[in-house]
Amino acid sequence: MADNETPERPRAVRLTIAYNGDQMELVSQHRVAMKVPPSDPVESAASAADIAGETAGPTGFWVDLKDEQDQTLYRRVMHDPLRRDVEVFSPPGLPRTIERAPVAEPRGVFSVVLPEIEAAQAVSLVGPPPRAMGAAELAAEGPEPSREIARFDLKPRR
Amino acid sequence: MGASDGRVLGTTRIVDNGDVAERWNLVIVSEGYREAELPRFAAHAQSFVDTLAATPPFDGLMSALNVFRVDVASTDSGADDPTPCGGSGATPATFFDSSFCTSGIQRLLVVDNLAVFNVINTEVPEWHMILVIVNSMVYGGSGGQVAVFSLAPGANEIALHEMGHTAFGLADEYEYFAGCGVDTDRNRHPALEPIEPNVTIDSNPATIKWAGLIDAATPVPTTSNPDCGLCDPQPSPVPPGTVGAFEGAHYHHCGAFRPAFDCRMRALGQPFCPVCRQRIRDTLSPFLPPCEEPSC
Repeated sequence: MADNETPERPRAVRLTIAYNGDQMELVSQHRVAMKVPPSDPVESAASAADIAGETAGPTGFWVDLKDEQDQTLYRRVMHDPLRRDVEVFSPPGLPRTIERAPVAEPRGVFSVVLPEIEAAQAVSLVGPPPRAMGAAELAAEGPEPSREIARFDLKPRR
Repeated sequence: MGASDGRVLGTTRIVDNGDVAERWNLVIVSEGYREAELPRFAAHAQSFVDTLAATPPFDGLMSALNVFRVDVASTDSGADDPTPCGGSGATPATFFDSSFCTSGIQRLLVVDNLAVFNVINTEVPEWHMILVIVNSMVYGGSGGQVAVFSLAPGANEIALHEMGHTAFGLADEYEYFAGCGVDTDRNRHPALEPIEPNVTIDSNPATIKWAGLIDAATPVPTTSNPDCGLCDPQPSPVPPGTVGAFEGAHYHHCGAFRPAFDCRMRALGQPFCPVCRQRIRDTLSPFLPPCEEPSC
């Protein structure tokens, strides 16, 4: 098969991000030949806010791939990768098999993988604001409106 | 303790459905196994794969997956089991430094995620999800980007629940935080719509996220909690698996709804509900070989 007939390989960018309280740092960024999950609807956040009516919203965590005009090219809803609280599992046979417990000093590392799109300029992480606080305060916290909590440029701005 | 306490022996593809760039790649990694114990890890990894392959909707989607087993040998067996949580006090030298008693919780078993990423980014750079099996019979596990579970009975269920979170962005459907009868601050969900596909504050049958999966004969809301100070004790008024809007979800007794009375995202040992199954199918279908897509 001639080169110009070779099927194009899917391309992606994997980011590894470290967090400590409200500080977030891009640890690494590298290209990978892999397919990524399909985009979630980019209007889903607005629709969800409409459901919430007069209040701000929505709540949850997602990652957006943005172009130079800040238009969203790709979105993936994720379970909050910042370990603010944790699931604790009980052995089979007990009445409850899952509970949650707060983490007083959230810190750790997570990875996101995004499609490699020529027009992509930046990655925006949207979620509840991270903060370090006492366990009792965390336990009393309910969901909070999500906002951009970190943004990393994938290439220098022109 | 850490990476000096063992070595990476190699990677084996235990489910092979072709091009790693086109499939969804699950990686299962060993922790706390000595080199001589790695054949047991191979059996444990295969046991999880067998469980996965028998779990709807994965049973119809396995050809979208490759599964890799990464053999990492540790100097010692097991995981740290600190005495402040009632553990044995063991401190084995293991590659990913696994430990129970994280944040003072005995059953919370975690590993060094960055060390796991560093190994898997080299062994299987195309990974989508990582599971770590810890060679310990003490019950425990944890979720997050790297799901961790031990060998205690039922631990495969932890992995399936955590896959729901990490790989498919599913929310918890249970209606409490620390526990029913324990919480005093989880009566009503704030007026904020969760972004996840399987919980909502919207109980309007015309606009609810999973409206297309609700039978016209099913009342919506399907259950309402009569006492928002407590978890709802009433049984399901509809047959198992019925999609509706059941009040009590996303860590709150009232004001948030789940799609089915029970689901693996609510309690271990339950099947995934139809809404969660649909989300999993939507995510994995693009990874199916061309002539196995649902439209084929």
